[in-house]
Amino acid sequence: MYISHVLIHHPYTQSITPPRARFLNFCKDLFKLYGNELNPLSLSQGGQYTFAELGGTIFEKCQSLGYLNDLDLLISTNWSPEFDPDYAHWGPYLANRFNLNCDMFDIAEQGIMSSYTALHWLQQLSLTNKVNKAILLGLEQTTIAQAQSDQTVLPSVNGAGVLVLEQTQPAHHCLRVLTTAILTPAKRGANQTELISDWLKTQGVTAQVSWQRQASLLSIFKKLAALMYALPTKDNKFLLAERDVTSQQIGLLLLESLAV
Amino acid sequence: MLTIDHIAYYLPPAKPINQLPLTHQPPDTLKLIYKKIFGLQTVLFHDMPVLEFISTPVQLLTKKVNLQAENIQYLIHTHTSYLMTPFNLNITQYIKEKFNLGVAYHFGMTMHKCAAGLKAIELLAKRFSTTTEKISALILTGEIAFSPALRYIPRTGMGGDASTAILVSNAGNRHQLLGITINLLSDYCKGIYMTDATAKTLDTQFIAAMTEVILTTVAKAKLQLSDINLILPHNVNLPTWQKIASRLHFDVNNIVTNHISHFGHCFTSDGFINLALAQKSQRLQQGDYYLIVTAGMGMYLAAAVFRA
Repeated sequence: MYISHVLIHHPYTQSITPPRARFLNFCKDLFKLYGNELNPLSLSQGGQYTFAELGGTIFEKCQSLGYLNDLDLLISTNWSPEFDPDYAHWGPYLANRFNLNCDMFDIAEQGIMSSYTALHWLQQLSLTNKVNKAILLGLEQTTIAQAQSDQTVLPSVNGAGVLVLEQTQPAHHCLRVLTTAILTPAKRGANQTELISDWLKTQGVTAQVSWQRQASLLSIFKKLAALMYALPTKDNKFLLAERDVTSQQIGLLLLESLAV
Repeated sequence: MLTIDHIAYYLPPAKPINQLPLTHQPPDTLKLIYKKIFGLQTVLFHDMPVLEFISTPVQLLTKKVNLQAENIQYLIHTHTSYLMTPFNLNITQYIKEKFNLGVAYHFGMTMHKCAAGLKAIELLAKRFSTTTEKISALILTGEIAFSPALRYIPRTGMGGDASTAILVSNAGNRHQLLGITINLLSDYCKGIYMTDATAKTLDTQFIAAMTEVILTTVAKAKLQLSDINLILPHNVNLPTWQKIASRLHFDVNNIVTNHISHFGHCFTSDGFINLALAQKSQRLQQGDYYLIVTAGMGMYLAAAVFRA
C-alpha cells in the first residue's frame, strides 16, 4: 500500500479542570482492584483530552481534504487511555459524526507498537482486495491515572495523527510500505541494533541503523510526515525503527519514497 | 476458514445481587424488576486478582493443547471497559511472557465493547483467508466489573465477572465460521451515558435491528433460520431474548438463556462461555449449526454462524 497523506494535529493547551466525579470514582475503583490507591492529582495534570475531541478535530480536516471519501477501513490506535470520556468509544462517535460506513477496529494496549501492529493488519487486509483506501488514526493524551508510587514512563504529547493509505499509487510524492514487523528481543539488554540489521538482511536491504527509545505513539506520524513533505528528489528506501519503553519490542517499517 | 479449536473458561462463584456492594446494586425501586422481570438472581463475582483471573483460562487451555506448538501469531484481549489496568500494565504482554508465547502481535480491542470478541473473530477470519500457511490466534475475553458503572447496567442487566481463552485457527475441523455480521446502529454512541429519551428510542429499534442482523448472518452462511439448532446469546436479560425469539418465530427453548439468572452479563465472554457449556451439556452436537449473538454499547449488533 501507499501512504498518500500524513496529518498531525496538536491541540492548543487547555485549562485544567477537576475531573468529573464519575471518572474520578471509576479510576479510584480501578486502583482499589489492584490493591493500590489513586493519586487524584494525577488527573489534574497533563492535557485532559478525550479521543472524541482529538479525533473529531483531525477528522474535520480530513473531511475538508476529501480523505474520508470512499474509505474502506479505519484502524484506530492509542497508547494512553483517553480522559473522562463522554462516549462508549470514539470509534462509533467518529462514524456517526462523519457518516463513515467503512469497517473499523482498534488496536490498543501495545504501547507505541500499536501503530506498527495496525500497519501489519493493513498490509494483511489489503491482500483480501477489499481495502482500497484506509486510514490509520493515532491518538494520544497525557493525563494518566496513577498511584502515588508510580514511576512509569508517560506519553509526552497530546494530539492525533492520520495516515491515509491507498492501494493505487497516487499521482504525487508518496511512501510505499514495503514491509513492517515487530521484533521481540530474547532478553533485556540484547544487542538490538544487531537484531535490526539481521532483520534487514532478511529483507535484502543493507542500511545504517540509528534509532531511539520513544515515548510517543505519534512519533511515527511525525517521522512519516517529515519523509513525505521534506524529502526526496529521487527514489529512496527508509527504515523507521522504534522501541517501546515498556515491552522493549521494536517496531520496524520499511518504506520506499516515490518521487513523481 | 476460521475454526474455534479450543475454549477454556473461568467462572468465579455467583453472588446474590442483594449481597453485592451497595453501590453495585440496582436502586431499591428497580430491584424487583431486575429479579422478577429480567430474571437476574445472582452474578459471577471475582475472587482473585485480575492477572490471575485473566490467566486462569489460559492455564486451563494448556492442559488441552500445547500452545507453543500452535504457531500462535496473534494474542488479542477483547474487553468492554476503556480502563482495565493501571497504565503500562499490559495484560497481553503478561500472558505472553507467563506462557512463553512467541507472538509478536499482542494487543487489546475495545471499540466494539461487548461485541469485541466477535470483532476479533471477524478480523482473524479475514487474515486467515489470505494465507495457506497454518496459523492460530489466541483470543482472551473477560474483565472484572470493578465499578458500579460496569456492574449495574441501567434498564438492561447486571455485569458478571468471567474470563475465557479461545484458540482459533485456519486449520481446525470443528466449529467452522460460516458467516458473520457486525452492524453499527447509528446515534447511540454515548453508550451508558445516553439520555433516557435516546435509550427509549433504542428500545424501540433494538429487537428489529437485532433480528435483522441474525437473519442477514444466517443468509450469508447460505442457511435458513430453521437450520439453526441453537442460539448462544449474550446474557443481558430474559425479556430481550423472548422478544427476539418471538419476532424470529424461533423456539425460545433453543436459545441458551438458562445462565442469565446466575451469571449476569459477562461482557465479551458470554457467547463463548455459552458455547463451551452447551458442548459440555451436549445441547450442541457435532454438525449442528449455531449462532453466537451479542451487542456492544455504541451500539454494535453482532452475530456469527458456526457449524459444530
